[in-house]
Amino acid sequence: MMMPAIRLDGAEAKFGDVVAVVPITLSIATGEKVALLGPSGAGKTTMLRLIGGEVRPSSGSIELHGRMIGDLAPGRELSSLVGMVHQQFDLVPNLSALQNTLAGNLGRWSLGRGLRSLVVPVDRHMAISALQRVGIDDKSAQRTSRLSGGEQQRVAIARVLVQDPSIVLADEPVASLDPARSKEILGALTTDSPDQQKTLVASMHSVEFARDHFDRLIGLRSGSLVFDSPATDVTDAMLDELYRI
Amino acid sequence: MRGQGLRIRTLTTVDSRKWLTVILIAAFGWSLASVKWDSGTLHTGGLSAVGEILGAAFTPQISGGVLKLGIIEAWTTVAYAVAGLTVALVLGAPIGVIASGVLARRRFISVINVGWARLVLAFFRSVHELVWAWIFIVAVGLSPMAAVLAIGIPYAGILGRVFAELLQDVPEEPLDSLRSAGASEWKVFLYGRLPMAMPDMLSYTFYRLECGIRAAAVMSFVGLGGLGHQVQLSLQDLDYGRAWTFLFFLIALVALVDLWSSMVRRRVSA
Ligand SMILES: Nc1ncnc2c1ncn2[C@@H]1O[C@H](COP(=O)(O)OP(=O)(O)OP(=O)(O)O)[C@@H](O)[C@H]1O
Ligand SMILES: [Mg+2]
Repeated sequence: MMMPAIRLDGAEAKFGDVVAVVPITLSIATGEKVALLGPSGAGKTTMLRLIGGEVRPSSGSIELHGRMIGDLAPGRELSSLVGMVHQQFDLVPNLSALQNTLAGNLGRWSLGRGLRSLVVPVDRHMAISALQRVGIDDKSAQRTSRLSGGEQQRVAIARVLVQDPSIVLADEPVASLDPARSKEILGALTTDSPDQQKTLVASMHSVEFARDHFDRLIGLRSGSLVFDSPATDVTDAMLDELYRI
Repeated sequence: MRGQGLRIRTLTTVDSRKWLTVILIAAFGWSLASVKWDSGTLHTGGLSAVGEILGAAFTPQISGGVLKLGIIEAWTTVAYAVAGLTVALVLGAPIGVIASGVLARRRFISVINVGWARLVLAFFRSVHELVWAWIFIVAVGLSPMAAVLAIGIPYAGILGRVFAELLQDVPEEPLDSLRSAGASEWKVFLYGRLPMAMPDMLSYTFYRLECGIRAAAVMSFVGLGGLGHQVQLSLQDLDYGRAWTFLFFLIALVALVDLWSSMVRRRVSA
């Protein structure tokens, strides 16, 4: 069997005494498009942060392309392997949309190049084409704080497109977008270029979009796995059970 | 057992905090009581002199000669303030960045660097600019250099300290998101901390420029030239109208800085 892109082996996340994710074991193959479903507080964000190396597992381990996540050097190495779009976008409000997008390059740029780019943007075409893919290249010069929520969300996605890691983690990437735009963005995130297969794990609150765009659905509830099935096998009964109040 | 330990600890911290509040309030009250409010701080006839001085505000001298002198001296005052603030920025900003501890990677080195940087800043600002002026006048004589350094050094201490705090207090989430895009702490600084702290840093710097203009005016009472010197000469001649002319120049300078600052801030702020 091929080495999986992501492998969780009994990975658990705790915040103090609160267990956000109970020990989970699963593998995600390279190129797979996986949606995380589950009610609010289920642990979707925490699971993505575990995979992205932002939260250390309290027990168990996480491997990305066969390497323990703790062994990956933060900076260039980790950021070329995995990138994350945060639920709250977390952009720098007083930089332009263009600069926030270009920040996706910070893992590979030298410090001098980064400094220079603040004065005269370096690799501008790269950022513009990423902004084009999410449909806001006309807003590239705008201060990010002046953009609407949906526009900021798209800048955050453009940043990860520039970063171009082999594993993309996206926390509710279309939560602030209208249906047509959501389709387009999900299309952009889930369509691979012919020469490179990207792995995508996204938390989704829209079951419909998850079914339409993803290969595999994982249901989380109170930090534990409720189901983990091909998208076509997930029934309405399973979903009702997942979201039951 | 564990719960009990916790309760005892919270009780004592609440208690000690309450005690601290009581002591601080007592010290405050005591200090107010220690000022001798009624013992001859106003001399007789003082009131009429005050009236005369205030009245002169409506009849400032506006002859060509005085205005020309005012402009020249205003320029000197601004030059001292701007040069002093430049020294303060060049000295205070880097030390402030070190004192904020945001660039350090290893804990041990960070503690040492933050320690000495804070100490230097505290030393700079614990001495008043007038005292620095006396020190520098002794060292380099009555030269503009003395005025510029006398403003620059204590202001470096103040700017550095405020910058350090502003750089620490930016929201963490955008910084984390830059880190996850692969940014080192230096890049996080350039792309996150600095832009987010910049509006406040700028407006504080402008506020300090205002203070610097006042300080430069006072500096000139010490004999270093500028608007304050002219105010002093006029007051000695009991020429209150003329003194007001120069005071109006001072007010105009501060107002101009304020205007400039709000224009710059509007461009930079989020
Ligand atoms: N940094 C933290 N400190 C303490 N508790 C946390 C932290 N992050 C998450 N939690 C807790 O962990 C649990 C899971 O949170 P998480 O953010 O992963 O949920 P989620 O599935 O993403 O929810 P939502 O759909 O509302 O975004 C929650 O109970 C939350 O309160
Ligand atoms: Mg979440």
